[in-house]
Amino acid sequence: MKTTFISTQAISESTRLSIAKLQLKLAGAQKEVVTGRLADVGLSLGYKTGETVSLRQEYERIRTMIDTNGVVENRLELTQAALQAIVNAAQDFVGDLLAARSSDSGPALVKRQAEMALSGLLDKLNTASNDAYLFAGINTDVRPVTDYFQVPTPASRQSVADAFFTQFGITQSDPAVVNITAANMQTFLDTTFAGLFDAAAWAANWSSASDQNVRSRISTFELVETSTNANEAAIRKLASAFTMVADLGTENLNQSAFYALVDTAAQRAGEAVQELSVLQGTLGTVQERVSIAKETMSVQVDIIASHINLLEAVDPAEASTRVSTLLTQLESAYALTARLHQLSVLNYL
Amino acid sequence: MTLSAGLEVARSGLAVTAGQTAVVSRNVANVGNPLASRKIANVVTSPSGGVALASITRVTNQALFDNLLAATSASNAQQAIMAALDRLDQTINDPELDASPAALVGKLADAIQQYASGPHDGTRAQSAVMAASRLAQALNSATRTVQDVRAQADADIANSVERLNALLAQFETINTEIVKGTRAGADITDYLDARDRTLAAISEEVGVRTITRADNDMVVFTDSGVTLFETRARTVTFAPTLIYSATTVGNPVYVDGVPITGSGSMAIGTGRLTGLVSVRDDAAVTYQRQLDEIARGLIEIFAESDQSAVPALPDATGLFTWPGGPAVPPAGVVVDGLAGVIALAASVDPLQGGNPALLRDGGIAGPAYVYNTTGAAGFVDRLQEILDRFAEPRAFDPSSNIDPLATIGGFGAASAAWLQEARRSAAAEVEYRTTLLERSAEALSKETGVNLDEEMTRLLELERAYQASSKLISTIDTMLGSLIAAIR
Amino acid sequence: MGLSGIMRTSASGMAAQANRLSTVADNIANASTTGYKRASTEFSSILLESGSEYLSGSVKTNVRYAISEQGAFSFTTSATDLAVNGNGFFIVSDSNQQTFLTRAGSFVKNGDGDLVNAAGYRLMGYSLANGAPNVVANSTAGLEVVNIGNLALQANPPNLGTFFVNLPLNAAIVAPADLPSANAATATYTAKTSLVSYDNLGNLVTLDVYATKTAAHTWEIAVFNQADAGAGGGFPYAAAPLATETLTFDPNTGQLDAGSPTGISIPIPNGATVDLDMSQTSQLAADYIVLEATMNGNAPSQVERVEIDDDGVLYAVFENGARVATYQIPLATVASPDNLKPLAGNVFAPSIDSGNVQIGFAGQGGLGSIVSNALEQSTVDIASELTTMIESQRSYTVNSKVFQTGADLMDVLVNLKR
Repeated sequence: MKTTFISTQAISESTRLSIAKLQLKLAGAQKEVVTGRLADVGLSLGYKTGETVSLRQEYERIRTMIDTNGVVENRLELTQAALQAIVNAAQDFVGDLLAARSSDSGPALVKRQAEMALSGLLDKLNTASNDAYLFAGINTDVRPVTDYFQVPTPASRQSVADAFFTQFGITQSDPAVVNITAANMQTFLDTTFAGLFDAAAWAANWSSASDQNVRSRISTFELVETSTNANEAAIRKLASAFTMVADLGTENLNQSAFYALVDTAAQRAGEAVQELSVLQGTLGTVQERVSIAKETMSVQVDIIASHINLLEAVDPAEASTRVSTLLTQLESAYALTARLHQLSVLNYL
Repeated sequence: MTLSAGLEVARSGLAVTAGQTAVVSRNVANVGNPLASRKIANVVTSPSGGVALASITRVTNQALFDNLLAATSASNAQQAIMAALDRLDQTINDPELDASPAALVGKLADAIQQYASGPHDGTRAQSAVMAASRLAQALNSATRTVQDVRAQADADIANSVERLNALLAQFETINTEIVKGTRAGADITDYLDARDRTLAAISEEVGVRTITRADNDMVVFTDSGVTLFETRARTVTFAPTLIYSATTVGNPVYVDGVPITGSGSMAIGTGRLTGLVSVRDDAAVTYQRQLDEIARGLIEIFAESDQSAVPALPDATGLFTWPGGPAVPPAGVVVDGLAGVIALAASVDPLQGGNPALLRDGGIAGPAYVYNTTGAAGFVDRLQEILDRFAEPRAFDPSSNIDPLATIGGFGAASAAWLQEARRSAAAEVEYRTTLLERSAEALSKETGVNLDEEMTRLLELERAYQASSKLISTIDTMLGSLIAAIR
Repeated sequence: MGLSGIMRTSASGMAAQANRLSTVADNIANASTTGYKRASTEFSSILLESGSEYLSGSVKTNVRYAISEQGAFSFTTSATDLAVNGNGFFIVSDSNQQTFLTRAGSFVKNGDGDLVNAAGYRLMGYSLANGAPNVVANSTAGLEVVNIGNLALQANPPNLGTFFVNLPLNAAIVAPADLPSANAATATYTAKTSLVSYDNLGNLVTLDVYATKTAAHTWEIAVFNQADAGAGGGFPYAAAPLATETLTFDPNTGQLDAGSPTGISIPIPNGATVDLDMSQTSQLAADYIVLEATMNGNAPSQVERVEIDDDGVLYAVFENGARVATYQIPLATVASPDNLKPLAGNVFAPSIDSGNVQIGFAGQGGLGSIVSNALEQSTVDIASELTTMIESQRSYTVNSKVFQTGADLMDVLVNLKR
């Protein structure tokens, strides 16, 4: 026969177990208060852990993208600046040409101006940023163009000299250039000389740049060309305009040949300026897209961060309330245990 | 009634009180002993008026005890699973630490994006290759962890089987004593308690079902009905496997010649053994498959194609390679243990004297695979192709138990989700089972345990009875004394 | 003859009181003797024929034994301490094979294995070795000395068993070639349970009982000897199954079909044929559950101790817990137990007054029951003995006074002559 409905073991075991459980919960709640995040994210979220892992991946990816877009923007800005400088130089040069037409000292002056403009153009084309040449296409580690006036004579200058000599049987510095007729000059400029600036000859004699532009991923699915290169038709035209004035014996030409030369140069430079604007416009569009992508992604990053927070974070007020509730519970459990252990018939025997 | 008879009755009263006191002190001694039941001394009156201790019985409740056994088995199975999943969790840890394979896959993609934004930059190439190396190492070490978990589970199974055999031998000794004692009418209550304890210990390892035959003889079956003990203990056998690789298949546990683990018709449903076997042959294997599929996905993403004008060569492994390289593993089919052997191609790894720029240019597999034929430093097509592949869904083996069509990052995240969900449900199950166990133990203890206060008051009562009997004896003695004094 | 008569009468009175004191002395001395029956004295007067002159007679002593009085029990811890609660007596024999009755049951095993009480008398009983004893009610024929020294190892091959299980209704059906009865390496089965049995020499034979679903509501039961099991404890066994049987079930009730066998006969190698009863086996949509599994018989083992139940059957308890009835201890009585002749050693012999010995078993016709772990105490009550002693002392003194008065008067008479 058994007359009681509880055993001593059951009394003490129940308080002991609840104390152990409370302590376990307290440890977790304390950690949550201190870190503001769930004590064991995986355990609390379960299958939703996949979501936070994905979100964190996404977060990192977009951050990286924003970072790399900064690089792209920087390159585009430098390229735009260089292009603008080139356009300005070309426009100045057209003005110079018009002035030279109506001045006696024009030919010599304009030749010097053309030489400077050509050097300036080549210099701009060799602009580098962050160890990479901006106008080299994907050949970013090779200087796109060589200096026209350097010693020894580069292939570009040599090819012009060779073409001139083949056409007229004299060198450019020969005083006999005065005998070249305007028609001959015009023919030379339109055919042989123009041929020196077509894509193939340009690549062979002038440029080490690649036709292929650098492509960048500016957002997850947007892959765009984010550079231009020294092989663009506009650049070639401008180079040919500068070269014809600078290096076809301009100072010794007779009046009519000089006019033919200057007119052709002005026409070429004018065309080049127009095409450069188109190029600038294209790059500007890309710039616009990069900045839009950047903006969108900053918003995305914020949303993702708040989403991660939503999943992993705990309400600090709630957590600290929980800690104090647990503390109270634990204290009363301790008190109860002590009281229960004092309570024994042994004390009254 | 005579004075002598009175003396005799008083003497039997003393003897019975002494016996009852012994039972009370046994109860008091066992007050802190879980599963010790309260013993009761049954007293009968003999024909001549004396009393005698007829038997000692105990308070028992078979239904509550059966509950306790079932709860013990179930909670032990879940605890074994939970412990193993916690170890597997080391491979993921807090998502904030970005230590999981999924996070490292993301980091590799980011490093490649950085590289693509500055393809001429050697530092970026190195950093991309380092990210790849970290990922390969993480996969290798995750595989080691998973296989360690399996080997540990196997060793635990061996220990569990050894313990089970020892417990069954002990059970046989105790059961024989109980059968003998029951037939002899001896006090077998302590043996019954001991048998209950042994049975509770057995139920930790394997779920049991019992029937009690004549003479308190107990027959023990597994919860699937395989004989564990019937007159004699049956042997539990298991051949441990010491070293686990991803392709190792562990041995089943046999009881009485019947496999009780795996998918047989007599497989057990609860107990630590179930948990351990499920870890070894199920959870860990699935997780390993997921890691292997991540590894296979990586090899696919970085695989290179023949770039000749007329492609003739098959695709070959790129940045990531494996012992079966340069062939690319067959698509959509898991290669067991791939995550353990995935490595960086030596020709790319700067630590092995390789050139990280091959990541941009291709040609890791050989000259026919060079993408950047012009050697342009700003060549990004290959890198962009790799980034595209990171973003496009690919087919994974359905046996990995997660969405078979996903991006590699998504697959990694789903793998983490799978593991954490398994942990969460195991934790919930452990909590539920443990609570059930506590409740069962409490209910059983309430019903059959010793209450110190009750025993103490019983002791008071016995003390009084003993005093009264002693008083009786001294009174009769005085009476006889006065009679003797009357003799002159 | 007045005066001398007085002296003679008082002398007989003193002698009677001396007798009475002697019984008191005996009783007090045996106050703690197991099975001792209190002696008492009864007196009868002898009066002489007298006319006008009174002639004093004398007193005659009769000693009575309260043999039928039940003594109190004192409980002990020895199983062979026996007491009778009722009218019966144990039958004991002395070394000359002469039988006596006694209530002194403190038997212990002597060097020969006989059960001997404190006075050296050996307990008699009927051997159960050859089945139920042939009791002759008024004769000690067939009785032998109970000897627990020769209870040697005993093996007991089983012949009956029960095996009730629930077979899972929804189990998969096994193809005939893969049935356990075909004993192929590919054998599959639905469930297996093993049972322990013994052969004639007591060797352990473990039976593997396989239950396999062969068709809807049809199950094959195949029993193998586990000793024949193949490597790893499975198929193929070295020998064909010991027995196979096909059970069919009623699809409506889940119980055995009326036409189905209800059990299986298993010939144990070198042993008896066990009839394994499976009549309560069911086929319901539940797990494989063993409901009952029993098998009689036991392995050979040493006798650990003996036990005597209340109808006098002496069981040998073996180390493995098995109990085997080996003797039955009879009880005897006579028509007038109080007239039995007490002899030394608390034994009684039948006399003409007591009537003849009637032998029966405990529980029959007022013989009472045998209580193990108890001894019948002496029926002596010290207090009443002491009062008897005081009373007798006074009587003796008064008798001696009468004698003295007679003697004084005789003196007066003798002095008259002077």
